Amino acid sequence: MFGFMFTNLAKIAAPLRRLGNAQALILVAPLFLFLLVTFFVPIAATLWQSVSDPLARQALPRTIAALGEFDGSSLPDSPAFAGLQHDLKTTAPETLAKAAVRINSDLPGFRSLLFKTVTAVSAEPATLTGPDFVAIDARWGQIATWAAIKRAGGPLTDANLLAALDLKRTDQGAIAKVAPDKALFAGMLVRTVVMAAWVTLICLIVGFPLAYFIASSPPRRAGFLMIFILLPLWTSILVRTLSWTVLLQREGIVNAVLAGLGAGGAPFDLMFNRMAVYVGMTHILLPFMVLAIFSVMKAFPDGYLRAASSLGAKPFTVFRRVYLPLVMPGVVSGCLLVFIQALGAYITPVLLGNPNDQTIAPIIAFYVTKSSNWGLAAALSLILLVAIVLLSSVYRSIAGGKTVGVV
Amino acid sequence: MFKSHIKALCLGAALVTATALSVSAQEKQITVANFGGLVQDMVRELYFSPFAATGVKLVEDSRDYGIGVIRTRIEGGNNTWDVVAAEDVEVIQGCQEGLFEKIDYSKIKEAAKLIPDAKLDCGLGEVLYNMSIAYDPAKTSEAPQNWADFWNVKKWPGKRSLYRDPRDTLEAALLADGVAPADVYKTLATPEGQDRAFAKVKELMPNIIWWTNPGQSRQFLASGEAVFIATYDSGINATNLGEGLKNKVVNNNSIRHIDYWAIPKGAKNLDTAYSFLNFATEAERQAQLASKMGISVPNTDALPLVKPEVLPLLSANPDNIKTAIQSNASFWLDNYDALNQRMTTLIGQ
Repeated sequence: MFGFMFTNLAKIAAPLRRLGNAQALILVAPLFLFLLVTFFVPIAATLWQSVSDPLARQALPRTIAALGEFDGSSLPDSPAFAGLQHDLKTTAPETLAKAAVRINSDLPGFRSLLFKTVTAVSAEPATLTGPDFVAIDARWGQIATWAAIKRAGGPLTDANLLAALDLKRTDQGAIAKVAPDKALFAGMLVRTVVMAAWVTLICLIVGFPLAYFIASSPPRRAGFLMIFILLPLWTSILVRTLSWTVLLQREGIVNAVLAGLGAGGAPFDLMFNRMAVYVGMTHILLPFMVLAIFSVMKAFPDGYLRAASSLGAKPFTVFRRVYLPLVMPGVVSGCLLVFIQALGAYITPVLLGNPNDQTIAPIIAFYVTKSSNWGLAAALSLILLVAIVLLSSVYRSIAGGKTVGVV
Repeated sequence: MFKSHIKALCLGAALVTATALSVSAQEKQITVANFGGLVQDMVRELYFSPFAATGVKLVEDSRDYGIGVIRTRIEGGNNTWDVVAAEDVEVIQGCQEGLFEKIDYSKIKEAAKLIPDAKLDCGLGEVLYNMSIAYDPAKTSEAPQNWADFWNVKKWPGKRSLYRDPRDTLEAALLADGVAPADVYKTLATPEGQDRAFAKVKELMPNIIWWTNPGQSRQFLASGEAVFIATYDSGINATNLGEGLKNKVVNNNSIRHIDYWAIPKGAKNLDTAYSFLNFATEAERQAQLASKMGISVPNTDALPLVKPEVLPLLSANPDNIKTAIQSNASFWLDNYDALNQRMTTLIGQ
């Protein structure tokens, strides 16, 4: 995605530099500014969320300062307990609540422990010691509780990034895998990429001949066919996905037709499986593939093919050695467009798939809206972004390199 | 979910536009966000429209569960909601984080008549409902009695539909596994209890269709895809009363819930918000809602006014309360994220 943009910007910028026209650069400045403000700043701000961890530090400053030497091998010394008592008495309730939620996401149960302790401590004028806190709740006598506070101590954290890869830090600070029954994200990320790759492949297999057919049609028919390609783009994704529900459900049209044709075993379970997700996503993303390839095919000079034939090449050789390499840029950009959009698929897998066909996007949305764990949501986004950039640059260097070599 | 949601959103958008065109600066105005679906349809008819008829411009909106959006609205400084419907966990967490106004109960006329659970610091009870077993007696040879029957695929073969959420599902699993109602949250708070609950869910997995929206669960029951569903009693009661369906709710061992009205911090029309809360708390109005929808309401004076044929259906009916457990908001505030992640992992395998 970024590669794309940079090449395009470079293409714009290069002739300008040759002209040496500074005024022209000023004309481009609004574009750069626009990109900076609407694109890079929000992304950077989101990514900052994934490593920034200020909440516990704001609420429990003395406690966290006193935990500097704490290494998870034994309970902290009395300054930590004194600091905690001071913090719980002086910090505003709202600030404490946010810190409680933050630490609770690491150690379930911390939230109610903190509020219980606040209530107990607020009525207590004397200085409390370790045993006093343990008397309030036994968890204050557990290393895990203090280790969770220290891990949340900020100001920066790797907890979200580790969690997004199904890793965690132990109470002693070492990196370890989470329990298998909680290892959710890495597998889901792989699944998201695999599903996107399949959708891209299906779109390519369907889209390439279609684009060729339209590009080689007379203008009237091409225009007519183009309407059918563009029409779905003007319909909401939700509507298009729900119409597949109508077609594929047990009492749906496809099953009715199959039963009418006498197919044995109907009605079939066509919905809530991986195939239904692929069908729905292919339908939604196919126009991008067709349009990208079509635009290159349309501009393809027929003379090249005739020249190749006249030099003795067989039709398949013409296709493989001349046509395919020259339309490759369209294929490459079509695949990238489809692949990247498929990675962000949200509604289609939710409506047409099973729980084991879900992609990572709804999980990210869950952590933003429902659980408001923005750090984890940002970390998952960052991992997804890195995966996209890596995969597309690898892909472009393979596919793009070949094209350039042949041409 | 999406269908009803979109409908609600479109309606909301239309109302917003209509209001923007017609409202004058002096007029009293209020924006209320509810959860959409059947409850919002009924509340629109019985609360919103009559309240608007008192000379207030009421703008209706709909929202999805989740404190994240509310926090963004308040902290982003562009909150337009004056009253929102909110789940218990949202009310408690939002109150602690200062996202909701503390409710001044001296301004609520019938406050003394509300059940205690309906009077949180930042939340005034809206409706009470149960997560219960429901089935279609026409398609079931013998009535299920409890969650153990729900899990019994030998006696009742076929799929069951459950809420794709750890809350309610894990409680039901433990009840099905023989945990006493009083011990459910004690058990679920321990790692062994969590293992036990997840093992029980896993046992039923091949026969589970998950739902994410209660309308879906009723659809599964209607189409025969599921023989039993775990769903909200109010949805079954409302469609029985309103559309003449004949489904049945098993009121044994239900899991009780309350939704609240809450006022987002710094709401622009605070006085009107209180007028609305008063309006929505009146016994007669709540009795109408209960009679029409078969959903319970927090005003104790409302119960005697409910249609006698609807009364036995209500989750607040003393007979139904006896064997029910109250969903534990504090437990879920502590454990939701961790258990949800584990559940997503389990059903995503």
